[in-house]
Amino acid sequence: MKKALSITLGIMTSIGGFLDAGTISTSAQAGASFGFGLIWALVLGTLAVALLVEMAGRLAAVSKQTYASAIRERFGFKFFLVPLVAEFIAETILLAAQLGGVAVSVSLVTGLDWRLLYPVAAIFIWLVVWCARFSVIENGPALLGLVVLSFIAGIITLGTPTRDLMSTLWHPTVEPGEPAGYFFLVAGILGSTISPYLLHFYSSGAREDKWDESYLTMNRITAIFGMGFGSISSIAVMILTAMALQPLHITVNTLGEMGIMMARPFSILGSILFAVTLFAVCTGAALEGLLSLSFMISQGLGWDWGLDERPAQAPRFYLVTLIILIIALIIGVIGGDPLKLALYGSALIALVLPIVLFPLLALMNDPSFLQDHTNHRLANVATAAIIIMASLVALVSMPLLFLSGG
Amino acid sequence: MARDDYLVMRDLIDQQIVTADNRSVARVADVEAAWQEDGRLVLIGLCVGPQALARRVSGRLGPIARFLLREKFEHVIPMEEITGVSLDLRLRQNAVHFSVGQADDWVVNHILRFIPGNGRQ
Repeated sequence: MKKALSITLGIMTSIGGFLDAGTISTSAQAGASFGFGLIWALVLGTLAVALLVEMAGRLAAVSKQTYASAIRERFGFKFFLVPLVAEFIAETILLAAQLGGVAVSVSLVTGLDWRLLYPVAAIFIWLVVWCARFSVIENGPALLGLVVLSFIAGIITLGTPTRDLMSTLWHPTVEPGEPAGYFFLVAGILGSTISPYLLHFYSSGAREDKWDESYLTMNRITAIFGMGFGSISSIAVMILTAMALQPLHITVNTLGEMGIMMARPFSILGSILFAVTLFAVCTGAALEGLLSLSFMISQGLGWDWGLDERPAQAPRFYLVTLIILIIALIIGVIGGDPLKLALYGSALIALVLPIVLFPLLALMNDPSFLQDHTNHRLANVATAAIIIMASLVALVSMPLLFLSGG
Repeated sequence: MARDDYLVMRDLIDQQIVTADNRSVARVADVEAAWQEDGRLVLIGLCVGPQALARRVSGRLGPIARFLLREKFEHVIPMEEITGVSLDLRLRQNAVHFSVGQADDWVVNHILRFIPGNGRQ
């Protein structure tokens, strides 16, 4: 029974990690600008993240270590700082975008300026972390699942896609002058799909649930279904924006404008549905991102961590969550529209993927951690190839986009 | 002593330190050793703290960290306090008996106390 429950960890991880301001922004922009032409990137990212999540779970089950503590013990403190700094920069930017997503969703319903609501969003997230237990956060997915269904309902309502749109699936139309934007979105989609914080969250959850080697099959199933579910919802967003926005030649420039994709099939109800979805998705992602970064720091430095303890039982961990949230708040206040932050944060993650994920690949091939459960060669090659590709695309497209004026 | 009972640096450096009352206090940043009269090198204690960590990153960072922090956050745990080395390094006594174990109390009593619902006793 306990093992059956642990699948909620996978679903929870995938929803928080998959569907975030980053995925919604990149998927919606991709759908609006290139139709179905970027679904392949999402599928590729899903393959990589399912492989990686399975690895993080296997590492926790066999070595009884979370990802962050394994990095510190295997490679030492000096090396640990490298992925830590890379993740800290990219993920605080992304956290700022999630907070913005929460603020924008409330502003869509109340009509208040999202900038005014921004600090309120930060305080809300902090309150959840301060007060909630893991079990409370685990009940969220049920609600989220229903919300994701609304995207699929939207697609059905809009009917079958046109033949022109279908052809973009295998033959994307990229106009002259657009390649930089196209490749930037490839990087963004891969970066927002392959979220490194997901691995910290998942391996920490596995440790809290005291996984051992008997969980390995469960872990594999969880990785496939959890990530598959997350991937379907992201693809649904992309299809919906492609069908709703591309025929109108609307490109979305702010997070709020994305509500049009739900307003087309469902009018006013759709706008509210979009706001609720954005709120739920960004709250989940903000919590997961904030907690994961705090887990990474606390585990790497050897402090007590975890949500099942009162703040006074893990004081340094709770202090870290507070500091990270304040930094994200500052980034968000000076950073402008959350959509831009989400796009650049996601592309930045793609850029640093090799730095933050190669330690995992090294650990997964180390028998002193994995005993006889080390990686299959195929998994190594596939993961490494996707990670390197994502990073190269980000490296090339980010300067190009800056040069062409964003 | 069998070969397997010898500790290597990898079993000490960067390992998690856990007290008798199951508090994770820190990870080993450095070790302190001394030459005995008979020429043997003996481990005296395990060092934790930001200055020891700064020395790990770069030799040049060490003096800067020392100037800024003035040994305030450095602690040495004597080797005789360590009871076991398995996945973690287990300490003989509860967290309150170690200066590093009091770091958490400091955070609770100086920062978190101002926020309601902190669970402080």
